[in-house]
Amino acid sequence: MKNHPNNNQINSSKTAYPEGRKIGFGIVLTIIGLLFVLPIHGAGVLKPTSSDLQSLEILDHQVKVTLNNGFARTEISQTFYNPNQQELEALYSFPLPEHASLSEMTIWAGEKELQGEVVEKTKAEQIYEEETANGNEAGLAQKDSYQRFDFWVNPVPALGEVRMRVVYYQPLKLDTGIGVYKYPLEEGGTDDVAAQFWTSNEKVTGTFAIEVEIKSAWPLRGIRTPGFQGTQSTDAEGDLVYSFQSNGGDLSKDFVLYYMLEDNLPGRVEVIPFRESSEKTGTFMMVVTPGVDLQPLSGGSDYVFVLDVSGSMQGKLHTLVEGVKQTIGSFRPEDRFRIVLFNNEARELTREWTPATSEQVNYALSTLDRIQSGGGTNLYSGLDLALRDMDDDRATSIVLVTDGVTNTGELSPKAFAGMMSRNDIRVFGFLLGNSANWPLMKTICDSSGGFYKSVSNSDDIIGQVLLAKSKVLYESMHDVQLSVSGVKTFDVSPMNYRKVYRGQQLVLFGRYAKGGKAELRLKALMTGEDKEYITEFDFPEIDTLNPELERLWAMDAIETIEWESSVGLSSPAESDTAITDLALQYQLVTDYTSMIVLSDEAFARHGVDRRNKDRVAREYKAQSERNKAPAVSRRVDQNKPMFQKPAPRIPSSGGGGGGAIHPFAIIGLVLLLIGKRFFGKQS
Amino acid sequence: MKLPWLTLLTGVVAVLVFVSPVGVASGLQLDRGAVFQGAYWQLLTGHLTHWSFDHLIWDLAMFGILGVLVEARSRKAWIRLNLISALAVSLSVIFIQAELEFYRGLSGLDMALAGYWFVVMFQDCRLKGRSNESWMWGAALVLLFSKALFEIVLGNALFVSNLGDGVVNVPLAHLAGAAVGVVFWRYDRKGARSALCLSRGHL
Repeated sequence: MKNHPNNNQINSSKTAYPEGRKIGFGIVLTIIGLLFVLPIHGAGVLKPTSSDLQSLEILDHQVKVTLNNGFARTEISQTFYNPNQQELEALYSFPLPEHASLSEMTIWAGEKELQGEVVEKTKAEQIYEEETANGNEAGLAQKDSYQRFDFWVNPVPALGEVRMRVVYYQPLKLDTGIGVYKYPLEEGGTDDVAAQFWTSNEKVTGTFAIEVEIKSAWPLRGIRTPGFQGTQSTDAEGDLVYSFQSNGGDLSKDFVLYYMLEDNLPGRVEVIPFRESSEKTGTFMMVVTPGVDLQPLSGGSDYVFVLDVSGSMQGKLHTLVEGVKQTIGSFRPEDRFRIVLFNNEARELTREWTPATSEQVNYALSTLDRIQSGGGTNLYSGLDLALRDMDDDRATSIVLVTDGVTNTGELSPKAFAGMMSRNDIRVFGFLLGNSANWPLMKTICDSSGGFYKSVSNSDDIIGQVLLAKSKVLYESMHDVQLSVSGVKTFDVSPMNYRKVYRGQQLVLFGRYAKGGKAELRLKALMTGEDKEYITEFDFPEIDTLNPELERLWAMDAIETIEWESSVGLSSPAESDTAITDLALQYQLVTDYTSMIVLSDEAFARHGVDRRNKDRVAREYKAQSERNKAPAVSRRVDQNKPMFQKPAPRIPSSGGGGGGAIHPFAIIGLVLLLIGKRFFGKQS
Repeated sequence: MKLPWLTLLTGVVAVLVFVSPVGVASGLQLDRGAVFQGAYWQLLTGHLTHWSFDHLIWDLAMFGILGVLVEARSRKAWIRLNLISALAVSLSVIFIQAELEFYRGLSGLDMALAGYWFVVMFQDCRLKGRSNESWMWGAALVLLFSKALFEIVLGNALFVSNLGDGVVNVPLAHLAGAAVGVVFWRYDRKGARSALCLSRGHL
């Protein structure tokens, strides 16, 4: 598509806009936006920096989220208004939510309702060009790698409105009983090319509303929405509903909602199945929440902080330094640390392993305060330097904090994976902001047996780093293997994990041939001993309540294929074909497929099958049924619990606290009262 | 001795909250996020919620003993002291120990009652010329603050029950409570004077 911001033809597109929209409506200019100086700050309507027209306005922006046990459904509705005397094309863009599968884009233009179908990317662009050139209403949704979703709508009539609805799904995962839902709005600042070409209108002139319904089968202890002052209520089904509404607003700040389950919930296995009929293949999502006794580790550990101090970290550096300071400040004297900084190249702030004594910690902290950001991002050199001078006799972890895209030095995910597999060191990654290269971070951390977390700028980086540190201070489960027998399962997410940390859930997607009794077995190494946990449960013959699982499964499969390709386990050609096939069958927007939005007649004219229409109808029917009832528990091991211990509760930081009295204190008080009596008698 | 019905009622409520369905304690505990969204009642009710049976029983035992003593002396002082210390402990946890999402427990109020009672006893005995007893209460007061300060330095609480996996002790609540008890005595002179007069009348 020639006017795509990341397309190689960006320069030519600056002049192509007026020329490319001659037919039908007269001059159909492209893209609107507003007033903002570079770089792009948030989600919004974009326009080329060179355009003299007024920006399209966002009249309202309404987000409706349902967190339904294992996955989230996000529905965004917004209305564009064109204040110009000529028709325009709208481009709305927002940061890509991780693991999101876009399922729906609908446009209301006047009386017409246009719906979306996923086709190959080039075909979608071709159809969109053709339809808009002929003066027909059309829309297009595209995914730009890991960075953002772009939505094109054409035309927005002069002094008129167009309404758009977008729906996407994401799997949800709890960590130590805490779930996080993020609606990303803040631009990550990781796409310099787009930032030079576009300005963005993030303002909502009318209603800006967010509603989150939490359908949890487990009792909730509470929710938290930093920076958003909404209200909580309970709906007729007993589900918690959070509502935020304002008159006007801007789309530059992420909405983050934390929800925390009650304490003392059991370690458990939950399975959400979908099987439409006995002739069809079933799909399932399995969530294993281990309830095992992982003990705190004794003895000292080594930590290497690998910190991104490139130019894009400006503004985030203070937060990063505070997070690291607090983490180092909580070390035990027997711990040791090193600090590696990287931008165009890596350098070590500490000369060697530094004991975490108060004197050394204070010195390191004062040095941290003087760090300046600047330059590019050479992540490979940072990790390479961090991996030198390791002490084989001590447990060592790398804490990697960066905000974006590695753009200097070695860039290949295969090289990173190779580096990690050659070293027995865990990497715990923290990605600051949106549009960061989470696939690469996932590759690095997964290859090392660690994990990564995306941290919104609206989030609590310090709390997140401390939470991760608390995991490292406990034993972990090693060489974890899951297996299912009794029912034929296939195309399942990877079932082997180098390490599973305290509080982590295992989330798998897969398919099953038919219903029946299955045995689930989890093998792991804990404290040098082989452990095995077993349960039995039934895969249902028919269960039609969660058709969205097919899309989630397909998205998970696509991410696995992308990972395999990035680390050289499959050829790019093979993976491209496999991804395209899956995306078309399950109607997913990927780097190879886009969603084209047309009228029914236009779809017929272009010979596009209405697969997504059928799929969306089925999903709406199921959602309607689910909404009428309270959340359904999907626990499958209640008859034969897989774990005997409860799921771990939150550790100290970010968690609960209380004052407490020991029996000794009561004894002391009683002794005082006896003393009072004794002295009273004396006097 | 008059019936300490306020202490008894508080204790009964704390027990009822504990045995109620989990959602009740969740709605009453001090939830930092919820308070910022308008659930101000949690500044008071959070102290009536507890994490475990051990947590409840020992907090309540201390509250029972000290509450009865203070209530018998002055019901108005009991009410004022508990309201002020409940707010002060909650606000200090929210603003000073901001990494905590939730707080539960009566122990902050226990410490306020203890601080108040020890200083009242110390002063009473000093004025009555019971120097040995006044030394005992003075020592108890010093120990109370030493413990609270030492807990802050240590980062954990001394002589406290284990609140369970994942829930930390909050020494700040103890220090804040004890400090409120003493400061309350200093400024609640009316109650102190009347109590003193009553004591002298017995001499």
